[in-house]
Amino acid sequence: MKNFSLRTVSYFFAAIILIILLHYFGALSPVERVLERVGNPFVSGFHAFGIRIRDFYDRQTSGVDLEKENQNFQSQIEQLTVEVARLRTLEEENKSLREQLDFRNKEKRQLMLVNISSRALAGDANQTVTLDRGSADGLSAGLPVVSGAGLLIGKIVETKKHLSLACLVTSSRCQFAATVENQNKTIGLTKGELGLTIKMDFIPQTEVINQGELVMTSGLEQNVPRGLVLGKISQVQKLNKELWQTATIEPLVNLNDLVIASVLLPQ
Amino acid sequence: MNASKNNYRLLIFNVLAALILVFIQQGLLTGLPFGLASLNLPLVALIFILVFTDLKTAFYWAVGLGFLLDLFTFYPFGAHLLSFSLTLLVVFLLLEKFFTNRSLYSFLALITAASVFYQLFLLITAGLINLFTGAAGVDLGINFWLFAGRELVFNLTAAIAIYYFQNFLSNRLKPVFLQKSNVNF
Repeated sequence: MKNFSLRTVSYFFAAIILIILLHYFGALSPVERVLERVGNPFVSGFHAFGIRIRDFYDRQTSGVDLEKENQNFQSQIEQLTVEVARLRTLEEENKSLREQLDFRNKEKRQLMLVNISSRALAGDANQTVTLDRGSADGLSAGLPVVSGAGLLIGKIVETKKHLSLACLVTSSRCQFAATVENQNKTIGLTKGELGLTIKMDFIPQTEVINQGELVMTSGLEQNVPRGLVLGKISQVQKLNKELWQTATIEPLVNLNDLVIASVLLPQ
Repeated sequence: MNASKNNYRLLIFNVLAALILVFIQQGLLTGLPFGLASLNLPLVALIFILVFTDLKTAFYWAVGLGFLLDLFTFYPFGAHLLSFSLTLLVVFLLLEKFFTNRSLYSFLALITAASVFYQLFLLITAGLINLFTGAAGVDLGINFWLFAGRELVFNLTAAIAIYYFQNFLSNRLKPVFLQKSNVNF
């Protein structure tokens, strides 16, 4: 057979087995470290370029009336400005009351800025992202990932030396202990659904939850503090024959446009 | 002296090309719309390299691409290395035994076989390596099959585009017909 030599093929496969063994024994670490360090900025750069193309395409094809959208945003800004002013007053009041009561300072966590360098290639496409920092930078599985505005976007599930894999909140691999921002602070468990929305489960039938209410982390999980916003309730499913009621949550951040994020480091 | 200089140049060119291919696959394609992340550009490139060069060159490329993809993805290390090499071997055997010409149909058949065998080998090798390292297995839910189907469609589309582009640039894929006047009996 032309070009075919069993010996050559055997040599190649022997070399491949050797490379794999050397990797698992750590002998290739220096080479891999250099390649990862050099390659990460390029992969992140290419990814950011790809996201810009996607943005441009989405804007051209969405058919959104920009003027109307702008007006809506303006009115939202006005409402939010009033809300921020009110919250600032409350914050000041809270601070002075805490001082008077000699409360311990609220825990302050450090953020690590990370680039999103890629999305998963496997079947779970677009529901996991690769971050350009890894265990060598202090990241570990279970740490929450937030957007620039502080909204929860996912959780680290796996780390390499200079890379981490994070599941997005809409991924079925991503679960969070959550609470609804209602009077009773109803708690439940969230899990991504079909890569599009989030489902909150294990809500007792006796609890009253409504469309539009905010859902945030409950703080019952290790390394995930209370108050990270997951999204807004868009639908409540309550069936009398069921033990629990469920809610569908829509994330407040567009998970397809992410280029930069932050990881909340443990204290 | 000149020959070794040329060899080094060729090696550097090949290494850079493999790096760029992996960066495009991992960075650019995963950011693009229409689910273009499903396109397996390194695999398509590997099949074209096999057809236009020889098995040895294609094996070097398979090892390089597999090593880089194992570094930049979260599959267990070795899964891409082994999958690319095994797929290459299967495609080579198909090329030698069944698809002896370089028509578009041959390319499409080879790409189809490569896409199917690659996914199969990736599943098996990742499963086996995970068995040894104790990591979680690959999820075989509906998303996996949708992704595999999309990958096949995008790979075939890319193969058609590269085939016609290559056809436009060179004569290597153009059929040759013997003219009666040139044949002496």
